[in-house]
Amino acid sequence: MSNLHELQRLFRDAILDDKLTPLTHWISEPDPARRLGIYRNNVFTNLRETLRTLYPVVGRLVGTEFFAYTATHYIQRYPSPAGDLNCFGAQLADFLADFEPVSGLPYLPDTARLEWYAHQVYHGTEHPPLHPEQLANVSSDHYEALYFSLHPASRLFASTYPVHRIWQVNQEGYNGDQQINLDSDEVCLLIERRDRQIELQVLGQGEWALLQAISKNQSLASATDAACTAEPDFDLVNSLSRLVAQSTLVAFSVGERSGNANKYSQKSDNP
Amino acid sequence: MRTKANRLETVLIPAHAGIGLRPPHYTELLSSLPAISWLEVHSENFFADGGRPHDILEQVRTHYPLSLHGVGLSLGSVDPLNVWHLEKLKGLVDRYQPGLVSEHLCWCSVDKRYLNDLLPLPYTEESLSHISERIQQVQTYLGRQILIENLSSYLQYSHSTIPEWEFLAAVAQRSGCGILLDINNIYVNACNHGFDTTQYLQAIPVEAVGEMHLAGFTDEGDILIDTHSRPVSTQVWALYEQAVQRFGRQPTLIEWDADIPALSVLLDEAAHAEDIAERTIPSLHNCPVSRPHVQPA
Repeated sequence: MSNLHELQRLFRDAILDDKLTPLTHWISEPDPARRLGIYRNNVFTNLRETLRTLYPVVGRLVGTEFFAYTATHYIQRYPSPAGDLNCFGAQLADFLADFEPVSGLPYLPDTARLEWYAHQVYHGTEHPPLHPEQLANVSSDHYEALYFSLHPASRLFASTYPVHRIWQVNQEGYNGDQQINLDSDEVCLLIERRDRQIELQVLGQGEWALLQAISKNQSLASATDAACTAEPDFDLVNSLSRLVAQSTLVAFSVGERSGNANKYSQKSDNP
Repeated sequence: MRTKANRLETVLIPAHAGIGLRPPHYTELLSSLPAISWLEVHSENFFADGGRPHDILEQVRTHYPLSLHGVGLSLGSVDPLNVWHLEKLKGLVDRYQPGLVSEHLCWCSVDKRYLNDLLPLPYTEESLSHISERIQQVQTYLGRQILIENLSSYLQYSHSTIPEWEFLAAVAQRSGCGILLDINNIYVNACNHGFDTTQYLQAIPVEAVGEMHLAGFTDEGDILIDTHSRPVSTQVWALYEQAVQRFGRQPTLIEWDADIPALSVLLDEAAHAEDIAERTIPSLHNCPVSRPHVQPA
């Protein structure tokens, strides 16, 4: 190992794991622990604040001090994977699920998962809407072989906890009903970006099954079967027209999913 | 997709004072369009595929010359260059055609673990050849020269053999990069490590400097910390004047990253930098300087 590699590893261990001793003889000035402490403080403060910005609802639920404690452990367990801080914090939900001090808050991991998805949607790729007339040109013989695509800046998420209510009640400036019933049924959510804001929609069983199937590259025929099984009186036409109008569905192709032929989607304006 | 035909023209960064644009000022800046000569943003804040960050940068780029300043490329790391990071940076450079692109003389990751801080290199022949080669690779990949910034530091390594100022000058000479000279960082390091700021300035080749940075530090008593949380200090303004005498008028940036004040405070700091530059090297009446690049709203 080169000198530089050894130094960088020792430095990382000094910062992340507080193992200062092996590095001290590499430092020429007095009080190396104090000097490394400045870096340690900078690194942890920066990463903790990044998590706090990314997970404001989790932060409100556990309080400022406990969030800092949790974040410190998270940083050591899942160090930052990139020079772009927007990539940091992806595993907080998994971490919280195994973090004993929060075992009394079973809804916390899913709340974190929702906040991570919201973060991804907020920064997700642009896509122009699908114009209904493009669909109108498809012969009715081909309806069953339609393959739709969801907006790239959207996520489907189901939880056994009412995380949409937890999220809503903990938004800054929320003045509505504060009651949350933790014993409610599973909630199925569509997370989207509208006018640059995050929007959560609670989906019915049929629409959830439909979008789940579409997101797994199934044809409209299979997706409709799934939706009608989940919700016998599911209104497909009404649902599809709304999903196209609100840009949840933004592209489609006819025939084989893998084929490039017959793909109907406007090119994005952005690179 | 932006085609070649409607691709943005690069707008050069004028030799005037600009400010670092940070999220708390996005809305106010874009609604008031203050008369500031240019803006600099952190490249990584715009690595997102879509969403509001690009709305902001599109508008910024319409009204002001733009400089991209990276904090996470980790040029000094022994890890291979992060291809994902480089691709993102090139995407930004191609899309927004910034007047300047800069990075730091530092490392911030090892074995794919990032500390997301600007960490000092030992100033050795090993580091010098390593980082110079990496800067060349980045410049080749981006198809343009980049500027490299000297950083503030709170420790020195026992096995360093080259003074910081000679190291910085040698990096520019070997890699062909320009220098982004952070005046506050020179002052902070001079106090922390006990060297002469004049000697530092004298060692930097005049033709290599393409930009200067100014910011405020925090005095911890035994050590100065480069917090970017305060106004530029009197001592740093004095050193800036000396730098202008040596390097001429350069694009000069006011940076403020923590406890960010009102936008007007940054604009006042930029106006002060402009005054010092004008006082040190007056612009000639018959030689018009570039005007603030602001289009009517």
